[in-house]
Amino acid sequence: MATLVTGRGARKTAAALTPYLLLLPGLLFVLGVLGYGVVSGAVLSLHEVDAFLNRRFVGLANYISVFSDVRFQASLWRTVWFVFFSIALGLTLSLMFALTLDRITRARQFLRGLSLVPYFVSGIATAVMWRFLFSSNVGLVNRILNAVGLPGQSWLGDPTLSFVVCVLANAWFIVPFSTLILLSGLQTIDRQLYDAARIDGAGGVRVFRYITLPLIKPMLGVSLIWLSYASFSMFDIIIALTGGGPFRATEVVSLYMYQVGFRFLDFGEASVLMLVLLAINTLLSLVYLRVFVIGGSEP
Amino acid sequence: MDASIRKRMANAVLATIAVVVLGSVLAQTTELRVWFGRENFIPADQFATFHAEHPDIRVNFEVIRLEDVPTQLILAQRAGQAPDIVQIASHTVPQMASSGLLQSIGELVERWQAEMPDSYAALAPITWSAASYDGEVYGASLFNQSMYLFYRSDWLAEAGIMETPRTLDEVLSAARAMSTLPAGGDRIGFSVIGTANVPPVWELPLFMSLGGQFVDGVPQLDSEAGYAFIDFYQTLMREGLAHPDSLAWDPGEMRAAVIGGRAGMMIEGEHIYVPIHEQIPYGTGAWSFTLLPHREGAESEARYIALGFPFLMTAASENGDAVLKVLEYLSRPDILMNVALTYQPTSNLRVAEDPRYLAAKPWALDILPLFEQVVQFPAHPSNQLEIMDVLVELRQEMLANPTADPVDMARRYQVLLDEAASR
Repeated sequence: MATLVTGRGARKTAAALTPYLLLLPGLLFVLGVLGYGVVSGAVLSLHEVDAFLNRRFVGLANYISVFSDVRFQASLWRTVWFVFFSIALGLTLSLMFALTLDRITRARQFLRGLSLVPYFVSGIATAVMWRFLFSSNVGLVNRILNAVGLPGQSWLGDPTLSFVVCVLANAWFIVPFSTLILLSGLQTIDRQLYDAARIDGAGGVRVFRYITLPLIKPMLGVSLIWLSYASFSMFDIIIALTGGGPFRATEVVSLYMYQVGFRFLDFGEASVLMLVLLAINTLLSLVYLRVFVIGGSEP
Repeated sequence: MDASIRKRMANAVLATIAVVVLGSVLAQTTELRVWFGRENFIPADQFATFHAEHPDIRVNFEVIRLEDVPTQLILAQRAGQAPDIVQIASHTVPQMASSGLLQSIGELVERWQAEMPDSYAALAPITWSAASYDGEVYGASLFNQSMYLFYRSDWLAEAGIMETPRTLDEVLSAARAMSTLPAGGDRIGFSVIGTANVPPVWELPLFMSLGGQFVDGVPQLDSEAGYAFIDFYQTLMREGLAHPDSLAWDPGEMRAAVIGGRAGMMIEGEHIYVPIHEQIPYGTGAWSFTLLPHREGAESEARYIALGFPFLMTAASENGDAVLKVLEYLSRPDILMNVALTYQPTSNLRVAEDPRYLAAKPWALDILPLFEQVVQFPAHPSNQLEIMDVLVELRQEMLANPTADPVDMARRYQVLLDEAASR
């Protein structure tokens, strides 16, 4: 009997521990790679660091310098708007694409693969492509505008328009993965719910609002985490597309961080900017997790 | 002892000897890493002849863009992967030298002069001056040029202007005349760069030619030269003499406007004359070049910048002998010729006088007297990159705000430049 109880207890313990043991390698990797980077960055942020990483402890001086820098404040505001518009456009498009891909029956696999193509194109190639599209001289967009009798625009020469182009390019790049996330959520919905709703006379909008959206809520949260993280971190598309111009109109925090770290070689202040981005991304992720109740049950 | 055993033992001894010999040969091979700033600078034979001449030296090279070298070199140095030789733009030599990233090669140059006098004598003095800082030579600047005013002489003639524009006012008048010429498609008088992606190496030479002064490498914008400099760019935009999208233009778009026959003038180096020559042959009266304009009455204050692309020895290198051999190899006329024929001009006098070079670049002799007037780029010893960053912002504001007061703009940016220099 004691042996039987002991055996059952050991199995229960093993069953309880197994998920954590399986998580351990991934966790060690994350802690080892990312954690080391974050901790090193945090340490660097408290030091004045020269080009050869020789350090002098300066406490919060780097933080004061960064937060009082007008250029940083402007880039932060710009980033907030950039992320806001990217999320709005990205979520709308990815939801539309996911709903469409969920319903199509012909060439389903091919179209799903095709929808992922933008994600596989490098950021630099994406930027070159978009730069060509919106070139005022030979760009396709201006040619179309001219063809319908509208004047061409200085897309990359106007601060507002260049910002719009960056948002569009960013959305084009981040939507595919978000679409994949939402599509996976849509595919878990029991079709009988839709059938029952139609029998009860519910139209498309009501079905979407009262059945689809609630059931993919956790996936919406994951998608938002991806969209906001990718947008906050977006660097390669913007640097190649506009270089942060014209006139710093597209200089987001990630670009400014690159300037500070790799142009001015001020690794201390660059580390502060890294931590700012990390804090914002972490905070937003926690908000999304709480709002969309990912991984838990509704209260 | 059995014959087969003796045979196996003999084979084993021979194999051991071979391994030892091979190992000792490999152990004596010096690995040298070279960073080229552009693919165009790589020798056509990719060091094949060098390897044949020096089997004990293996050169591994890659392209790291000139603009990225300062950052990449620091990171490589931290990782213990720094190259032996880097190629950079000459205006970053002071900052890299004072940061301890470079190594003086004064003794190596003396050896070069003593051991290879013919090779040394073929190199113009700018080879060493463009790679020097504070009296120390850090490498060899085998490719050097300046910025000139390119202009469509046929367009000027069409507009009734027979004199070469030499002052700022004359350049603006020429641009106005070119912009109003009747032609199929829109023409602009002056093609400029506006993007934030490239350093201000097109603007600074103009500032200097207008008499602009530098104090410890900091441009003195708050001066008559500075006001004229800013007003020039503003006038181009205000009067429609430059393309309205100039704010987004990179060097490629600036050049394309000229090569494509849409722009009449630009500030550019002579390496671009090669593709222009392919479209519009030089010497037919269609285009020409001259020194950058000076301010009216301030011709004596004008100076012209030399822009070099030196090969420098890094502080991490311990292969002085091999570096010397590679630099000498890169300086050979046949090696330089392949680059100079289609790209940057060289400081090797034998190349500059070679009939093949003169045939490929028929403007070469005409440009020589202009190039003899150049001076070194007055760079800041520690914060040149920060200063360039401010100037890029100025470039954009000049084009974006063509009606702003140039004096006010000059004073604001002077403050920013002084702050950048003092960080």
